[in-house]
Amino acid sequence: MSEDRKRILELLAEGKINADEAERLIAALAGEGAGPRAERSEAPRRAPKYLRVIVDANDLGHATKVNIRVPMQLLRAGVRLGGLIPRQAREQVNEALQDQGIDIDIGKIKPENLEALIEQLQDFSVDVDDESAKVRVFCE
Amino acid sequence: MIPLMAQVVVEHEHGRPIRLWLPLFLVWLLLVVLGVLLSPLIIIACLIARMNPFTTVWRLCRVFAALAGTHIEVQAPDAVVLVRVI
Repeated sequence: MSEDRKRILELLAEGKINADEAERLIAALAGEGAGPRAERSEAPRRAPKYLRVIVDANDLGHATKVNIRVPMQLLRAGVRLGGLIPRQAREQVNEALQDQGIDIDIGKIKPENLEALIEQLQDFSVDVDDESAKVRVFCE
Repeated sequence: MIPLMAQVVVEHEHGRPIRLWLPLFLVWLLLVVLGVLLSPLIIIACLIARMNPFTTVWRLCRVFAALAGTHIEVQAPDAVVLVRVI
């Protein structure tokens, strides 16, 4: 038992503080102790290295398994390469995307945007659990 | 780091399985030689497309380098395909 806690209990025994106050003081002490631990748990998060896609399908008794691991580095390199696409080609790609209902200007996807996206992908996970297939997309 | 080896496995229900270990470091050496020989054409093509040839080549190299760690595995009832870049 710590000295502070012992002192609080002594004060309670002596009647100088009531039970509620003692409880509050002990809770405050516990909060102080938990502070650094909480900070430690928020240590710098590691950016995910791979995008994983796992499919476990079973159509009419035919089992198919797909296991894909794509390095994030490849996504980064792809985005940087995308920056070299000539404007005419970029416009055609944008138009094709818009035809599919995807309103994205690929010219505006910058490496720094991708970094922010990848950082957030650590918490990203898609789980589809169907009768005929299980699909899992996550980052590791 | 650039990938040095690739493993390719293709197994059919009927037919001989294909299992290959490809030494990519040899492929890179060949590509360097080929790139030097074709550099005039690459530069002309880039200039026509209004792209910086050096940036283009550098970014392409980065895409190849980023392939390390790629793993693609498909197991179907009649075939198995595995591509691994190490």
